[in-house]
Amino acid sequence: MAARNWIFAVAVAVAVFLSLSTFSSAQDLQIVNAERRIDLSSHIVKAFLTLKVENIGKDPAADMLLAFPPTQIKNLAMVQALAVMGKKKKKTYLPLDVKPTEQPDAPNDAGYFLVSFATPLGPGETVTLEVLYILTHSLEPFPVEITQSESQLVYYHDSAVVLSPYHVKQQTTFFKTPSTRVESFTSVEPANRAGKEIKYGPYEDRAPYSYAPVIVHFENNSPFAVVEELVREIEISHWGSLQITENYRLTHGGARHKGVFSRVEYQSRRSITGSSSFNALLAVLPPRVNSVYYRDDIGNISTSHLRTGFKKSELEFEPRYPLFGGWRATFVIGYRVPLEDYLFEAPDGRRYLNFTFGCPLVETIVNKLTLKVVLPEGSKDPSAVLPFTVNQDLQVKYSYLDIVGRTVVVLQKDNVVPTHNVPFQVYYTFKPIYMLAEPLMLVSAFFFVFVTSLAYVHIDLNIVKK
Amino acid sequence: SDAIQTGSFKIDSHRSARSKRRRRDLSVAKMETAKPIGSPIPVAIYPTLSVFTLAIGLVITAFFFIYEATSSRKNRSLGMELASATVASVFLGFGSLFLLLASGVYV
Repeated sequence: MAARNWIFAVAVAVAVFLSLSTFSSAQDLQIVNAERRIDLSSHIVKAFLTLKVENIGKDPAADMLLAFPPTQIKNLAMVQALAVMGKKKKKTYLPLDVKPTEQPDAPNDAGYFLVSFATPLGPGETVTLEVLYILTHSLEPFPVEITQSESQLVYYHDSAVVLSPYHVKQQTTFFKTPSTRVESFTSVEPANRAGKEIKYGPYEDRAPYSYAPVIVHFENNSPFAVVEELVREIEISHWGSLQITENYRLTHGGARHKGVFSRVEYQSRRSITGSSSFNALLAVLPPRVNSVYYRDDIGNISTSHLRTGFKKSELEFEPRYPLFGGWRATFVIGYRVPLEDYLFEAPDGRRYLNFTFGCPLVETIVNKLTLKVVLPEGSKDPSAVLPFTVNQDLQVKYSYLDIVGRTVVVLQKDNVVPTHNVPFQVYYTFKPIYMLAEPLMLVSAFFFVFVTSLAYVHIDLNIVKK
Repeated sequence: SDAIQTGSFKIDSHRSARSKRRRRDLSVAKMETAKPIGSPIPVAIYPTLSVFTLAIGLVITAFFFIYEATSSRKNRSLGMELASATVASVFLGFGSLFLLLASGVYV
């Protein structure tokens, strides 16, 4: 009797627990088809996820969750989602709002992003979403140290099945490697490799939160250019120019270099040695740029080529030495652009600067980016408008002919990739009469000299009156 | 965005030339709704302006010091001195500002 009571109590407890868990996970959406293409060609991993989502519940769904494993969530630089409308030739893409969220019952500390649909998805309806997410620092070099003549091999850890809080009916994952040399990849049936592509799938009917860890060990000799710290200062001068100064601390983020560096071997057999090293970098600058300089603590670095154009200018520059794994280079790039290209007047009378955020170098990750916008003296009420979250701060800078100092809007962001090169605006109010403060300061300085000479001439220092 | 641009170019070839021009004009009009702010004085004339204002300022400074040196205590006019000092300092002040701007120190 007591045993039967015990079993009954346990059964009730289990039933209650199950009903509670189904209530809190909200399983009214399911993914009919998921196709994931992960591009491993460069050290910035780009993943394109096409999801066909169906509402199998009774209520309309306004949003859906994207789940990421905890190792990936801290390396995620950007998540974008687009809703696909129309079909075949008349496809249009509608950008959707994506926000990071926290869920209380996340298994194994998975991270979540909430995607809000343009219109709530009715019961029985399906919608196709295209999600793009970018991972940084996800390629782990193995072997960790290589000599000058070896090629660079890296590990990429991921799952063969898409991690999702919803049931996935059918899914396929493709990995694209930069070369045909793949040392090994975890086999999760059915998995096969053809040339530069590894295909995992198709997998049918996977439960929510299913995860099959795979490791791909392949060769990646693309330049692992990582800027550890970048400080960009944009100085606005209402007399007609925008002066931009960029301080870089560049490293090679791949397999560390061990042994000696033989310059003879590097220069004579360039195709074999230093395959993972790089010595040239490309910076994309604004079109009408002038007075470009490239220097470091020692002095000017002459190994650079500037090509100006109508849509953009390209600065191809080389550090003083080629960069191997773990090596660093510190330098400053500065340039000037005309003011009328970037400063505008808003309809409410405020002025705003419209400039691109991010790093001008192509295919580089910036670990810590600090952007300082120096507003002219006499500017009030500064505010910055950006399409993503950054840390904002205000500082004061004293420069030429300053009395009270210039307000500096400081924007700081970690883990910046080239996809972050989007325009942002900094609004401020400025009365044009304040521009006269600088010439009037110079005029009063000269007038003081004249008044002193006048006083000297007029003062009578004779002891005996003539 | 490059793919989107080439895609629209393929569709453009089927349209007439007039509608192509209208399409391009629309995109230009969109960009010009924001009013750009530039310098009150054209940047290209800064060097010329600095030379002329400094020259005039130095001429008046010369007049000031010659007046001081040649006039005696009795027939010295304070008004004349102050007037020439003011005018000279205005021209010299603006001239040095344009000189700073012309040499690249955008204050």
